[in-house]
Amino acid sequence: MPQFDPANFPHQLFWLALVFAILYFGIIKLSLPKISGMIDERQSRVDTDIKAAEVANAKATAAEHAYLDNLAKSRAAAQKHLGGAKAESDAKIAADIKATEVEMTAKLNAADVRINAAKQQALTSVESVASDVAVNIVERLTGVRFAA
Amino acid sequence: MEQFEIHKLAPMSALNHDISFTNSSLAMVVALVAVAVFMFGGAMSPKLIPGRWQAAVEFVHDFVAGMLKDSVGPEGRRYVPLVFALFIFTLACNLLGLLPFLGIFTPTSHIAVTLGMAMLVFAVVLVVGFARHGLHFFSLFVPEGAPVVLLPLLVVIEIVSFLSRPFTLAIRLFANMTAGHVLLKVFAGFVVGLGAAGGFLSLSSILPFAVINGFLVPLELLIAVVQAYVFALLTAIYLNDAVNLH
Repeated sequence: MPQFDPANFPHQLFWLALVFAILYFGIIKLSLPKISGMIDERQSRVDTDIKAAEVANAKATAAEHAYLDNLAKSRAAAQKHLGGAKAESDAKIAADIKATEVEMTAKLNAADVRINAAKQQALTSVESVASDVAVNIVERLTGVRFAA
Repeated sequence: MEQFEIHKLAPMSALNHDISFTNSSLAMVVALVAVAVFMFGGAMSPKLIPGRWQAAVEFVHDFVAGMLKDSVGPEGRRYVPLVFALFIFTLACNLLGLLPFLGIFTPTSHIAVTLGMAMLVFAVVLVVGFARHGLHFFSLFVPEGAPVVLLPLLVVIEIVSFLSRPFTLAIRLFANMTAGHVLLKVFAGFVVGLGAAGGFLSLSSILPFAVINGFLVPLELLIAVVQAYVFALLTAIYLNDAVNLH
């Protein structure tokens, strides 16, 4: 086999060294760093973008939380406000009812007093009418007039 | 074996050494040009969003870089150009050597070429190892947690296995390439020989051997890629020894 012929070694080794030196220093060393640099740049770009996206995501989450907090707070405030107004109006209604009641009772009592007075008066007048009638009857019958 | 024969295309010599430009040199130069076209076409003006060509170069780069990261760790980044060069040169030589009709020679089917590359790897491992660890690099030969009684034997075994690395690395690639080409040649030879025999013999033999050869071609393509991968992977593993010691 020609592979084992020592005469074939020197020129193959010489050309291998020459070709490999050109390959390494003239081709690979010139072109490969561009590719690896581009791969690194792409990676760093992707990393930065992912970081930016994460920051934006955190910001959005925080904004959502703030919004929800605000909503809950305003809802609580509105509830409180509503409760206060209701209590106020309830108290006002109760006071109005009470005042009206007092007024009505007073009016009722006054009316009672008036009715009693009128009744008394009526009874008194009935008595005097009855005595007059009795005096007149006696006078007619007897001709004597009694003083009432 | 004439497919492994070396023909001098331009005889040259320097310092009493034969450095003729041969068909082997020509095949290496063709591989070099192919790699240059591939690399410069895909990497000269890289875009953030890669085109097809750039994506292909990036794929090979990520393949080699991932291999080094897995076996050496983050320090492996420094050796990406070297392993990349070894991988793509071996791959180009292996694949171009399989092209039919062009009569292209396969440089990686010669042990001089594979041994040259393996020696380069061995030298780089030694330089990196001694540069990083100094004489402490010799602790590579002392397996951790081994019983003291066995230590002399183990150290000898470790040294022998370390020194045989360039040869196993070289012979693995050379033997795979040579065997594959011989196999294809033998089966193609059966088809031609039996076809010439004529009659029943050719009718009953051409088809099975041609079919087998048809399956052998993709197998050899696979071997061409796998052996380039194995060469690069073993380089990465040996570099790991030099960088991290065990």
